[in-house]
Amino acid sequence: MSKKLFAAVQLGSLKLSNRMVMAPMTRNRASQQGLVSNMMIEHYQQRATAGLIIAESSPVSAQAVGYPNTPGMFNTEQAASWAPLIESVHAKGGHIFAQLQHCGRISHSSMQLDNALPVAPSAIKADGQAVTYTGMLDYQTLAP
Amino acid sequence: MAKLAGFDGVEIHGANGYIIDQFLRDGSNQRTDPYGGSVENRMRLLNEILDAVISVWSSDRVGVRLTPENSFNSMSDSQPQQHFGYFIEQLSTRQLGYLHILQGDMMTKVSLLDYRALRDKFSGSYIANNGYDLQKAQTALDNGDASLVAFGLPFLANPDLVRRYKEQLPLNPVDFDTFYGGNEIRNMRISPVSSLRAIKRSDARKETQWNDESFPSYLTKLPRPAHAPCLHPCMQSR
Ligand SMILES: Cc1cc2nc3c(=O)[nH]c(=O)nc-3n(C[C@H](O)[C@H](O)[C@H](O)COP(=O)(O)O)c2cc1C
Ligand SMILES: Cc1cc2nc3c(=O)[nH]c(=O)nc-3n(C[C@H](O)[C@H](O)[C@H](O)COP(=O)(O)O)c2cc1C
Repeated sequence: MSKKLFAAVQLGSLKLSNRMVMAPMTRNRASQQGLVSNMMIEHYQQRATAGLIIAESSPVSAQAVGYPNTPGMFNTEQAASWAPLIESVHAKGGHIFAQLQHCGRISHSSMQLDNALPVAPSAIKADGQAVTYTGMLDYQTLAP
Repeated sequence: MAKLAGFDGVEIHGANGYIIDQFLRDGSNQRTDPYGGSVENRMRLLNEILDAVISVWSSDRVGVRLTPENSFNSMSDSQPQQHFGYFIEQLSTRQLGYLHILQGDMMTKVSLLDYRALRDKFSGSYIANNGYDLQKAQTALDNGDASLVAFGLPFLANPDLVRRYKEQLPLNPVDFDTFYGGNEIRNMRISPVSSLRAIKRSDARKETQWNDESFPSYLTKLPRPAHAPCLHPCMQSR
């Protein structure tokens, strides 16, 4: 079998040690304020031998939030909480990208500021239920 | 914020039925303004986001993730091959770090599109994903179907997946009950072969206490997504 998967590769200006990428995976292990937890640091630094890690999706604003306990990317406290995680990946020779997320209709008013309805391109609701801090709730018909 | 935190780059999440994807696919976008209707209009939001992000990051530190046919989150499109062909041609002009495609439908395991044709419309690095194992990944790289391969569940269950693939070691089973949340000591048992004992008891206890205070207990009871992970090749091999 060829060894290409394990060969270093240039990704733009980054040199990755192999062609194995860790796909982004939401684990709902951040605090309610969207701060990175110790368990997350452990999780990512254990996987730092991947050529590139794409971190779990992270909402870019309070409105972008769609799931409980997802790590945020919209205030300086959140950014600061990511720093030790990123450092621990770099210390092991890894590279890590953030995944910038806006959930749109896959959210619920109980997850939004002032209980506002989530936003979406059109007022077409998704089937199923949103995961919220108070349990599973039906998706709502939204304001476009 | 991602730059402030020290990330090497950012991936724009245009996949899996979240807001960018809701605009891109016509099953969820029925707007009649400049953000709906034609492919140009449906891509406007993504283009504006990219313009903004590339004003902060060098374009080679920006990736985009798309899911042309994943039906997760009630998504659909009338002509995914043509529509995503257009989106990808446009992305190809931006000197992005990479294009990352979750190929096929995670819910049904059906894959009807010609991903090689989509891949060939993109001039930069292409990350293929969904259901890859060592063999399929090597084949994709050898055939030029992908420049890199992303692994989800295999990395979730095997922190040292690189070593396991390199040395062809057996893989851990995926524990579906610990996908989300963290107030289970079991999470800490998912360990690299090499450092099974490295996670000390005390650390595990510390994590558990921290979690018990911080995580809503129902998270571990979330319904397991009813789809593909169970069909993943890393599960079939056992
Ligand atoms: C627990 C879990 C969480 C996920 N979270 C995300 C996410 O935050 N963002 C995303 O784009 N994809 C997410 N995905 C999809 C994965 O990135 C990946 O596309 C999927 O697992 C298929 O790849 P695989 O067959 O190698 O596992 C998630 C998948 C799982 C199983
Ligand atoms: C295949 C798959 C893809 C996912 N993609 C994303 C994603 O793109 N963004 C995200 O924030 N979470 C993602 N997740 C996490 C889930 O959407 C969510 O946390 C999980 O499915 C819990 O809700 P459910 O039990 O109703 O599915 C994904 C999960 C799976 C299994």
